[in-house]
Amino acid sequence: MPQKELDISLSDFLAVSATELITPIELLSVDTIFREIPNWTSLNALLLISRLNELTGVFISSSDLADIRTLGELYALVVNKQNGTL
Amino acid sequence: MALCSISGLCVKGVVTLCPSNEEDNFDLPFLSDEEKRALVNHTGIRYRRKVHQNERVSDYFEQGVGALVDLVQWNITDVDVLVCVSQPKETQIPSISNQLHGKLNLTNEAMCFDINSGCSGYPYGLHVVGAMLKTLNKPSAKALLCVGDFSSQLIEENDKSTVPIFSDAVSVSAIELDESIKHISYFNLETIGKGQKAITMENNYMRLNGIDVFSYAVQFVPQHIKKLLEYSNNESTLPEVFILHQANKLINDSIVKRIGISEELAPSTLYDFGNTASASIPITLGKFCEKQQIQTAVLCGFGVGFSIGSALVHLPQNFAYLHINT
Repeated sequence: MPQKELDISLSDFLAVSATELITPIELLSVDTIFREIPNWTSLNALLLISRLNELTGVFISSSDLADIRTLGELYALVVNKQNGTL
Repeated sequence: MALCSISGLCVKGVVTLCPSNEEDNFDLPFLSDEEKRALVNHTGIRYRRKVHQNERVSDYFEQGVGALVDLVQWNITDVDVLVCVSQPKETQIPSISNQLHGKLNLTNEAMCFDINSGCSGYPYGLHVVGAMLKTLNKPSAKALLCVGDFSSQLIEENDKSTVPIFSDAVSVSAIELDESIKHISYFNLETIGKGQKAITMENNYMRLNGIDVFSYAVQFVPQHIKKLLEYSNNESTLPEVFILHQANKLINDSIVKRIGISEELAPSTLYDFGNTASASIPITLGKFCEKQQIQTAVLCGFGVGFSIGSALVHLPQNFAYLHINT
């Protein structure tokens, strides 16, 4: 079994987002609308969701993504799901 | 009845068939070079097989049955059950198995029917034909299990989500009931219907929601396989190989990691064959058995439904395999 997943900090979340979306980290913030990131392709989005799952154990669905717009909202979703508040 | 078992079930041999027409993901016209590299790296898929638009799954099944009965030295008139697992674009009337019965020399006593199932179709089909054979009360009852799809006929030409992934192939398996075999085959058959929108037909084309397929597969498949191993009391002694449906590398690697087995125990045929839907298990099993003789294997299919099926099977020493490029 994989080790117990750890909490993810906002800075780690943005760093992971930058890596998987092949985007300089300085261009990303909690206010970034993720669908407007030029490298937000279906494959890169899947890679980000997969990496977040690996790090936190949280599963994000397409309907979860449909309800949010920004990276900050995605981060909040991950944290809330991890804490069991969603 | 998610967990069940069948004694005496023997997979005597498998024939897999692919069109010889091969496509290379590095030649895809609608992706940049960077996207192509990332795609091949993360999906693990380089080559795909593609039939012509006028080719039919039933013709491949027919060719496969002909090759298989020679391979396992069966007389076609001894076949008691013929089951075809496929999801063609248009409803087949009569069923594919009935069409095949009309072309082959099966007897009128042979039961023939189709199962509408996708990537979990092989373990489901194996269970269904096994259960049918058990009801016959006949020594050495025999079944032919035909599975596979021409996915290229279901997808839109420039769909970035499906075109680089799906590939065309079918397989035909010879299943025999041999009560002298002491081994028991174990099955776990499950459905998570809330995931039905992960793969659907929309506007006459198959659509794949990669994020949802990932989430359902990685969330449910590892525990599904663990349940099978627990049920078969095989948790501590791992089967020799885990043949997973070849979805894509990202999904399969995540599943393997969560089951807690080494990558070598879960061979891949993604690079050369892509995602061949329900035929991916027999192709991967056959290719593995070409290199290494095995006695036990977990076969696990998952996908459209969202459906998950797995089987722990024992293969005979003289298990026969043949791959045909048509």
